[in-house]
Amino acid sequence: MKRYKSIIITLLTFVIFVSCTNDYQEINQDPNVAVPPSEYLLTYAMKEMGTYKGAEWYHENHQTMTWAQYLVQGESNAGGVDNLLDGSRYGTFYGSIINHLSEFRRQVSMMPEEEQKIRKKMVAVSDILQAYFALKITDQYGRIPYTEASLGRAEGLTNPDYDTQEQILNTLLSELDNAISVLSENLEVEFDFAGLDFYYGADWDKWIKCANAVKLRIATRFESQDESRTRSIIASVVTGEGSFTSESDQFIYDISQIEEWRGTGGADFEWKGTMWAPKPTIEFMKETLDPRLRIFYQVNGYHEETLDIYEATNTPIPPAVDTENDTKVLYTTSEGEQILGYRYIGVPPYRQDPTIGQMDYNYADNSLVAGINANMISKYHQRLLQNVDANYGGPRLDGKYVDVFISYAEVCFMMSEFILKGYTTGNAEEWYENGIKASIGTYNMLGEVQNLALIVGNKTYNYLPVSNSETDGYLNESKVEFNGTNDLEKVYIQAFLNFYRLPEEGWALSKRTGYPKFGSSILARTPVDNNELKFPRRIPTPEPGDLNRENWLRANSEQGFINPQDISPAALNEQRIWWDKNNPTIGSGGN
Amino acid sequence: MFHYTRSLAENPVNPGANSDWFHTGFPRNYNVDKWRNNYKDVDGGVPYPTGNGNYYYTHYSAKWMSMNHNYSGRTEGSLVAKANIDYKIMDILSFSLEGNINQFTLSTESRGIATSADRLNGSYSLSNGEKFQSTFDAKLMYNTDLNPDLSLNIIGGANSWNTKSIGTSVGTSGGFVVRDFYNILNSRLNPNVSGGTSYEKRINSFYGYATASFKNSVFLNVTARNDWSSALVYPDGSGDPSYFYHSESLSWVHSEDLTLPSAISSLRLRASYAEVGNDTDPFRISTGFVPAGIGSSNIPMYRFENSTAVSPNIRPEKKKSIELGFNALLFDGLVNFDFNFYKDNTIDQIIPLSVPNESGIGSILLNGGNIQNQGIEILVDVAIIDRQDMSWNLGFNWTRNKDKILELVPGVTEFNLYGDPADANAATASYAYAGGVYGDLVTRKGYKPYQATDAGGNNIDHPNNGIPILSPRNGWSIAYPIGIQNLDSLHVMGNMQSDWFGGVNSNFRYKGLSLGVLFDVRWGGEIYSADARYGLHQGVIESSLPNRDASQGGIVWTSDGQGQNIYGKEYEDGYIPHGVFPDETTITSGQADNRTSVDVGGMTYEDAYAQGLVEPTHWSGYIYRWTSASTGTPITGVYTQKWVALREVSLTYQLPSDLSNRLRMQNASLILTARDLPFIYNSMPDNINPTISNNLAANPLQMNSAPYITSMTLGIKANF
Repeated sequence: MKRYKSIIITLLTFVIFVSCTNDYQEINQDPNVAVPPSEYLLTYAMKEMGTYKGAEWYHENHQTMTWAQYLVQGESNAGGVDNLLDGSRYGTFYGSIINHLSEFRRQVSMMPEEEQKIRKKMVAVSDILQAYFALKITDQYGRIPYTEASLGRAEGLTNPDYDTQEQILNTLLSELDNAISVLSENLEVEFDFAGLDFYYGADWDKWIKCANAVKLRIATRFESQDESRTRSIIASVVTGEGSFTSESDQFIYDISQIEEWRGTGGADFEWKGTMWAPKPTIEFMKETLDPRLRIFYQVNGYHEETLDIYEATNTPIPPAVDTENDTKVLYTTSEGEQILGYRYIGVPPYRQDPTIGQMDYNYADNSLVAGINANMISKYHQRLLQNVDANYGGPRLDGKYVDVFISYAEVCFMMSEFILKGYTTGNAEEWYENGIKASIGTYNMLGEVQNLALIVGNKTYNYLPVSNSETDGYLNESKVEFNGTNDLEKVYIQAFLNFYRLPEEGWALSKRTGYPKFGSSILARTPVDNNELKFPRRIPTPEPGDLNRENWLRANSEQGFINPQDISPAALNEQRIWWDKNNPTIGSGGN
Repeated sequence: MFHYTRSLAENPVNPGANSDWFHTGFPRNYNVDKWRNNYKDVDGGVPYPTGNGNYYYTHYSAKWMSMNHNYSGRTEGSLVAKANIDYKIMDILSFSLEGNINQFTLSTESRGIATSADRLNGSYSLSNGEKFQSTFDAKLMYNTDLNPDLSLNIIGGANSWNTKSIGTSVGTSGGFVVRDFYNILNSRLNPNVSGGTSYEKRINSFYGYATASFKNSVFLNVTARNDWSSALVYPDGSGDPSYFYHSESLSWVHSEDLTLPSAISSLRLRASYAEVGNDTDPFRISTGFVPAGIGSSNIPMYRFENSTAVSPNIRPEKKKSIELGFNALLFDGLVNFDFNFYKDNTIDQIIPLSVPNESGIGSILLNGGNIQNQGIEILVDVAIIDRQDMSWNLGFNWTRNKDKILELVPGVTEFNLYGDPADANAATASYAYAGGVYGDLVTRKGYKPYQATDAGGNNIDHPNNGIPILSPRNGWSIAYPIGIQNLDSLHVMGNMQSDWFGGVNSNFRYKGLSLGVLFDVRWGGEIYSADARYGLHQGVIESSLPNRDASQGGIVWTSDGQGQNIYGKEYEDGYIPHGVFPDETTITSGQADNRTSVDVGGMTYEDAYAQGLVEPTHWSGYIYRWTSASTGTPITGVYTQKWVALREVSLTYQLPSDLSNRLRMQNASLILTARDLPFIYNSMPDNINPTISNNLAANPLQMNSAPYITSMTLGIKANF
């Protein structure tokens, strides 16, 4: 019997052990996830806003740079230049930014009142960041889910409705106004945000100016639909705290403060063909001695050594390189080499240009070669756009990535435009000149921080900083000078040049104003083909699946989009989003 | 009892999704024999600059360097130990206690050789991990014969199963400081370090079995089990970890009482119904945030662990299966025939249901659906010869399986199983539809069918309606049917489920010598082959040869200067594509100073060519565009999979017993085995290996597969 007892005790012990689930909660707690302080979600969203992630350059910026004619794709914009491939920005907004910002605000809203109060201004900052990015999305996609967006996790809402674009813009404005009023409050105790805020170091005044800069951008979107709304938004900015007053106020993503960061690999930017400089822009910048020429585009490899090889081998120099006449001194490098006019060659964006295919242009791209096969046409400056890691096959170059989201120059050019159009009062000329100085100053900053050195013709060119006399001389050039002739067009052209590094805004400017225009005497847009191509003016929102198809179809049909998945250039050009509906044809100079 | 094994695998071949492959631009005329030994420059690095222009020959040097000098090693250890106590309490009642442990360890080491100009982009990484599993089990067994005809066997027990995986990995980041020094501390940037517990679960259970047999002819089996799984408990302690399931099976073996036709020597029928409960992976319902800063940044940043939200009331899954079958031994044991039918329904499967990204999440983990898996299996074994000296048997098996989704979640009718139908490259996904098929191969990129319209823009009937629209390159020098985003719906290109699988095996023995062969057959089901599509695109596979020049059947013609063709030049790669010119298409030809145009809108290329309005198109340009990622459609990469593989051939020689005895062995044999011999039949073009790019469920993408690898082994087996 004793034996049975021990067996039964053993069994019972085991049964009790087996039926015990007390430690299950602990076992199934994922040790690899944390519940961090809420503000670390805000910092994450702040980081995700940069364009360094590659895909924006791979698709969106790649396309808008050719459509806006900042660059020419392959040989004279060969096939597929008007094709649209949607990029990553939409996914970034919903999958990285708005979800973390709204989770941050949700977590704060559940804190005790005192804790909420000290974080008020951080919440306001999160609203400004969200408005800034949401504008970028609705600018391209039109109606998008906004007021009902990002409620999947907290409320289980999986069929967010698509707000109309007008509603979205008005919602953004009221969120920005609310943020401005919160940031203007005097709080006795504040959460110490300075060390986390790599945009403005918790300088609330600068955040207010930034919110106002976003408002000014929104004001331009209303222009062709509701001019009085444009005027009232501008009025609320200029009678309020105003926007940027110097380059130090700019909305800049400068991750270099906290980390050596170089962006992602660069070759993808040229997956549809090498990206060359367009002839009209190169000619304009050469003629006006624009100091940004060497920042935007690469000098070619036709230095003395190359010319000597041509001579030694008795090879005629191609007619596109006019070493006889195109000899204006553009600048002198720090090594003392004079860079003459023929060192920057652009190609015609016009496919039927008689010089195309006549061996005028050598499309070879060999940075490390001097002589006959040296680079002849100027490329985009690889270390400025997207890839600060480009080293042209040579040794590693220092340099850090910086992204200018909203520049002081942009604000200046908007103000100058608004004054010239009578939307507000002030000195349009002063704003214009400040804009040019700020644009050159900021690009020079990029030149230095990103270290725009390059190798071409197998020779290294270090970055040559811009001097004040270059800027002053530029302001006096007749195609630049604010002198009563074509002043508004000059403002547009300078705004356009300033958006080189922000091509979606450059494209928005072209859609909104029709500038640069065909046949301009200052800086002209060129038709790409005889029957001018219809470039996409929007991107279709992705098909959301069963759960939200109904809302999606309705949003599309209410916007007049006949076929929601139609990505043919004509459909995307003709069936427009709300703020673009009444805008002029690209290049018509209509507004 | 314990058992330990340890193994080291070095530089294993990746069967699918290799990083470099023949259609990434590797020319067929590349002189492998020359460059495989000449890929280093004078000081032992990869020659620089690489790439285009004058340095083209160095283009693949880095690949040779990596191939010959990279190293990856994987050491696995496995320790299995078991202890048990069996105790007989009385004749009909016994008791058993058992404990098992299984420790699996894995360590890897990999070295990447530098291929950059400064020779500092090398890499070195290490990882170590352990998976530890333990099981404790106690049971009482009751076994009795109630009467001569009826016996009863009952087992009741309790079980606890525990598992935990933990590991670390470290690796250099951003290259090396010192050339060729493979050490973590040689990392240029802060080394990457990661690790932790990746898996931990406990399942406790009570269970019972009962078997009753009647006259050794009818058998009834009943089981019942309750599990408590830690994986079903939420971080806040909520959630019900308990689930119960059971099974019943009945079988009948023909007894002497029943007379069967003489051909049938034995017959067994079986039927069963089973339910199995299932939990989910550990930590799956425990969500939170993970660090996501930039490198070593001083500013902490956290993001959601993933884009999946978890429903607050996850229940265990339940699978219900019905199985019916029989086994017959025919003609005095010459033929063994087995038939099986099964139907499984998985209910309340724990699935990540895709939701619109605009809701801030990508999916919600919830219980949903009723997924049915139904099929038949047939097995036939024939002992053709069965004698002392000689035997020969032949076996066949044949299976057919169909998966179906009977229902999903309310409001959802389609379910993306794998891939993205709008992706820029493959643009291929597999989908399941509620109430319908499972594993449809779909894309958003298809052809644009021609539709004629009248002057008012209304659709009208036309013989060419529905034929793919052509698109030009170089001013209609090249014409090809263009792939565009399908406007309304997903285009279905096929279905991945096979019609059937089969196999044949045979073994022939004469005295000590035996020969075995094994064939494997797959019949039906579509696959997307990137290797076939981009092999055509780059012109590196044999299928791309036809029409390439006159000797390959290309049309020879003298050009009138159509598009950018050179006037008066003779071309020999002519091809007439199938497609319709878009309305209002004009084609220009003639000499530079005398160009004329003809209107071919709405005509097929064939008609326009027959009427002498157009020249042939160029095959090379046609096939390049037709299969391209940007202008083609994945339809050009979809193939029906049918293959017959000679899976294994083995030749065994059993040493005569006197010889093996003299060597002090009980018996000994020599075995020569060849596995995965070349396909006897393969419907893939150019004999492409249909191995898909990874083992994830419902993956239809074949890309960058390694060539089919045949392995031969020679073995000696001896017993002492």
